[in-house]
Amino acid sequence: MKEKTIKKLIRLVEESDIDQLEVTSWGRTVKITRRISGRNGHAEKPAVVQPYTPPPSSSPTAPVVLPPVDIKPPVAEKKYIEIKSPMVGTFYASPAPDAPPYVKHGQRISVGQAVCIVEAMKLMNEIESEVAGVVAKAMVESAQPVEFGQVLFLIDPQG
Amino acid sequence: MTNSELEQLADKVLEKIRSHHGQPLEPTKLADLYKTSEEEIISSIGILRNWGYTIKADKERRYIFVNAPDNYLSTEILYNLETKFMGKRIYTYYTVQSTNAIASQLAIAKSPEGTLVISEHQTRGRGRLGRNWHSPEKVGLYCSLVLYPKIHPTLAPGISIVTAVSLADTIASYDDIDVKIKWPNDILISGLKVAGILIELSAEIDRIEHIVVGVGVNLNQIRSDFPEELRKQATSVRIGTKEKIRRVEFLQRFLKNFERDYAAFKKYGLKDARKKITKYSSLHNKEVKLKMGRKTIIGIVIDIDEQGRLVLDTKEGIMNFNAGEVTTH
Repeated sequence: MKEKTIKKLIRLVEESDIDQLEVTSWGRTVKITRRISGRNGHAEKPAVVQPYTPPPSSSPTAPVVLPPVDIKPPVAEKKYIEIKSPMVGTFYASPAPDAPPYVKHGQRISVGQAVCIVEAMKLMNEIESEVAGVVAKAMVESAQPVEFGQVLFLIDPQG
Repeated sequence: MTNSELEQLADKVLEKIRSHHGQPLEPTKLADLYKTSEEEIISSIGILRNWGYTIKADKERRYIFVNAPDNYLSTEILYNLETKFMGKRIYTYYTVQSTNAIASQLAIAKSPEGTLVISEHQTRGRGRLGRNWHSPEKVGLYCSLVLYPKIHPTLAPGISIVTAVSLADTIASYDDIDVKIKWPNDILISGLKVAGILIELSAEIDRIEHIVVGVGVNLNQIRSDFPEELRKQATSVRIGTKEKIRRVEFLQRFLKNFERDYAAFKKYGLKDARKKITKYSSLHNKEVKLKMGRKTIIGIVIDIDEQGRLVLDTKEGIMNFNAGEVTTH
């Protein structure tokens, strides 16, 4: 994440009432925590922790193209939140072909709820929602191939 | 003494009499050694016999170790296990729905890396996409391992290849049999399926939380043990090698191979595994059909790349795939 972006985020925390902000964008997480001193509850300057930056997979034939880091303030302009595929593979809407799908259109889901499986080389990755809301749209049909970063679901957080 | 204290005593007594190489040991000596009564030594011998150990008593009521059962007891698995962490924490069951499901729970609870969940029998052994894995008792190996590799999630599918290679090496260590890997991780003997692997990943977009590696191997089945509908597709290591396999030993060899291959994978990626999968591959230089959703691609398998993807020479050129169902025709 760029220094400029982090500074912007710090300002955001300073100007707001929130104590902690964690932003993940394309494999990079920044956590900003405001320390409240025990006695008078006076807020200090937020501290920045950049916990873990994974090495990018760097093989020349890798199909993984990281899009440019582009962080917008949490006040998102668009209404829907996207759930994206974390890897190249095959998308499955249900745990087994004859089983009901994990989620349906219009269904209310909670944070951490499994929404689908993406399979690559017989490794099954159960994708969990990072947001609560209502499933506004399923973007991929079951058993179809998906790309890294491809949008799988649109979630309406206000729904 | 509580039951669990008696079981602990039984473990110690077993170690002692086992290391005595068939020489008899007096119960009073054992009682002195473990600062306990002769009655409790006798009880602990009872426990060991219950577990399946054969322990003889001679005329003077001294104990002699005869042999160990081929059961998945923690004590047996740990005995002479040559690994640093793989399979060092063990959860054994007689019957479970699925070892993968239990291992996932243990992983969420942060059980140490290499934790092994093993069951004699699975009622709902998970195959891929909800398919069942036929898991009868006493003849197979059904287990799951918990891993926390610090690699990027996009590299995680490589574990599939690594597991297949470790398993193929383990089977090949028994006999000069025709073991093949059908990409990505089906293990075949003479063209019939002998083992299945199912891997479940739990990850954030940038970080792996845990991986559960589930392995099902047909070890000691004979032909008639398989249900009619599986006989033309399935085989066992025993059918391949024509000798009964000591299951605990097979597991120990697999754990050792897998620990080695997993370490190499974390360090160097699929560099080593690729050489081996090329050796074991049932698909190399063959024309195959790869089905991906509604699309079917036909091509000749020319390689498996450094990410473990299948490389096909197709009409539209050389393409790499990491998903899809392969059939030869």
